Amino acid sequence: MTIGFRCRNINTNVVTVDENLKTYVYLGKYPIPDDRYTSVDIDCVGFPLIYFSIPYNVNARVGIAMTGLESIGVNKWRAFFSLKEAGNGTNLNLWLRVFGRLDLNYPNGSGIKYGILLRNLNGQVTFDSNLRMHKLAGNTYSTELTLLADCPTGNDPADKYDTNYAMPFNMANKSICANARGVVYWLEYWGSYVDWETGRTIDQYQKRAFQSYYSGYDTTIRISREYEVATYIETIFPIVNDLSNMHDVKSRIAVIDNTKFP
Amino acid sequence: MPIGIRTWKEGTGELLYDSTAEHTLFNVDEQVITGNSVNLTTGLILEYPAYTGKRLSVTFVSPYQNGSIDGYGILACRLTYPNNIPTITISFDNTTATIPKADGYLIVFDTGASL
Repeated sequence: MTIGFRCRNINTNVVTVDENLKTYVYLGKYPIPDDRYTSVDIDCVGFPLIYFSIPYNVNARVGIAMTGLESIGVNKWRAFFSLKEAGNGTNLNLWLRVFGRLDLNYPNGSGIKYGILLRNLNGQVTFDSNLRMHKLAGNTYSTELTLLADCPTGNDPADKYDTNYAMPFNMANKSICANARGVVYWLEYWGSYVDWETGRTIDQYQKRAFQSYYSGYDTTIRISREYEVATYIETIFPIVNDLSNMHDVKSRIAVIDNTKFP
Repeated sequence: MPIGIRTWKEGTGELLYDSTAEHTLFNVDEQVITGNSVNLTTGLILEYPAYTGKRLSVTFVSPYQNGSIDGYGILACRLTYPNNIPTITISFDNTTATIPKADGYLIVFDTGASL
């Protein structure tokens, strides 16, 4: 940038405002219903960046997972969630927070009379002092999650496959952006029986689906690998259950401070 | 604050921006990652040499546009810095899975910070 507006943090020298760089801004929040499987419809021009609050110091096995996102119309989106142990009487009071591209959602800015409004040379708004810019709680942009390929079997203790991440702050009043599910299916041999009509041996397999649920406990984010649902497969042909290429899933996480985005 | 900028929300006076405290994330790239574009063995590798030495932030939503998650392979997302070049690797959790491959949506931010 030879001419224009750029602002650096005097302590870290990090650029925090640049008229040429596009940013995301906070668009609003929506309640997430306390249902086992639920969805939330949101408005956003362009792709929405979604953060959701997580159960905090509630119960070891309570958690939330964002399981999908789809467009349901012009500038309308539906985010899908799965809540572990929802409906057990605990009011989780969870919220979804949406960020969208500033230049798309506020093509003319917020309409402020006083303040700073920056545009790039194409006329797109890149900073509006009346809006809440997308920023993380602390420097959590480096946080990487590892979701284990290993999955619980029927007799495993529930917390054996939990992953705990120590964060540099308390997780109360925080929301996260984390969408990876990790390993989806795990096929287990379940048993056999003889079909007396045909005389054939029928092998039974259990196809177990898993989900990664997020919760907060003091300064820790916990990801619980939870057994979600099973479907059964019966076959007269043996199934080669090759799990050798299943591997840990690496994913990203980001955290925001809810108090900055009321 | 000896040098810098603070801005307040019009009407309420709430402090919304402080140049000595903020880590604004700048939008570098965003794109749909189709499941079929991801190699089962090597994954999909995206490099950002223009940001060499810089620390990026990545968010990745999957599945995207599939509705129900059941029956879809899931993508993993990793950010590394070989030779200080930010490199994003998208891959599947199970390369032997024959189930349909989920699509995802990637957003990449520049944190402004150096490695």
